[in-house]
Amino acid sequence: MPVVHVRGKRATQPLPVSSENNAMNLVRSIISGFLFVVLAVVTAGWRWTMLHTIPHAGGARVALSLCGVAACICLCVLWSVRATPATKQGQSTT
Amino acid sequence: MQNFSGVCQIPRPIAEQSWMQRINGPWHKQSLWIYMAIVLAHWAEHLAQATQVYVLGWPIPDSRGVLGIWFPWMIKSEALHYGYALVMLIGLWLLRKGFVGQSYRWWMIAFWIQFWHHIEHAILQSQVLLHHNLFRAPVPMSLIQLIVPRVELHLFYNTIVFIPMVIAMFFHMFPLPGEEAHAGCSCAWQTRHATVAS
Repeated sequence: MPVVHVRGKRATQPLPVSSENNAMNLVRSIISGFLFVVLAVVTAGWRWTMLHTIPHAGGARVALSLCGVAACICLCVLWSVRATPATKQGQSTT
Repeated sequence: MQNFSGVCQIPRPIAEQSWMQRINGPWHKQSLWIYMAIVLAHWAEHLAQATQVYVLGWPIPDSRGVLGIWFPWMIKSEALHYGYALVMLIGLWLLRKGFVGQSYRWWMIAFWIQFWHHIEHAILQSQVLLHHNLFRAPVPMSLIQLIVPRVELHLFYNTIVFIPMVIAMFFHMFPLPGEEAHAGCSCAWQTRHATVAS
C-alpha cells in the first residue's frame, strides 16, 4: 500500500474521488455565492448611475462593468477545473 | 518563481524553522484563514457602503460602511482603509512562499494589483496627514479618482485584487496535475504521494 499524505496527515488510503469532488464543489460554490453578491451590487450600481446625475458617470459605469467581467471570468476559471484521471487515482504526475 | 519540478523537499522540524517558514509551512492554513477573515472584513465595508448608496439611497458622505457608522473618524482620517490596504499588501507578500505553480502566479498578480491599490491609499492618507488635498479638491483625491468616482473605484480595486487571490487559494487547495502541493503545509485537500513509498 503506498503511503500518502492526506491534508498533511499520514494515511494509507487515498481519499475517494467523490470526496475530493465534493470538497472542490463546496469551495467553489461558496466563492461563487460571494461573486454573485458582487454581481448584484454591480448591477445595483449600474442602475444607480443611470438614475442619478453624478460626475464621471462614464468612469463609474466602466469600473462597475469591469468588476462584473472580472467576476464572470473568475466563475469560468473556477468551474472549468475538473479532477483529472491522475488526481482521481491519487497519483502524482511528477 | 517557485520551484515545482517534482522534487520533494523534506520539511525541517518545526522547532528549527523560522517564523516565515512556519507561516508558509505548518501554519500556512491558519495564516490564510486569518488573512481571509481580514479580507472579508474589508469587503464587508465596501459592500455595505455600496448598499447604502445604491439600495438605501443614502448620501455618499453619510455612507461610511460598517465601522464608519459608529466611528466616523476612521473614514475621515483614511486610517481604516489605509490600514486594510497595508495589512493586505503585507499579507500577500508574507504568505506568498506557501504557494507554488499556478497558485503562486495568481497570488503574485493579486500582490501587484494590491501594490498599486496601496499606493492610491497612501496618496489619500498623506493628504489627510499633510492637511492639503491634491487638485484643490474639497476631499482627499487619489489619481484614478480623477476619472472614476471613489465608491466605484474601490469596489473595482477590491474585486480585481480578490479574484486572483481567491483563484490562487483554490489552486492551492486543489493543485493542478503536475503541480505538487507545497510539501510543508496542509492546505491541499487532495491526496498526495509521499517521497517514500512502502
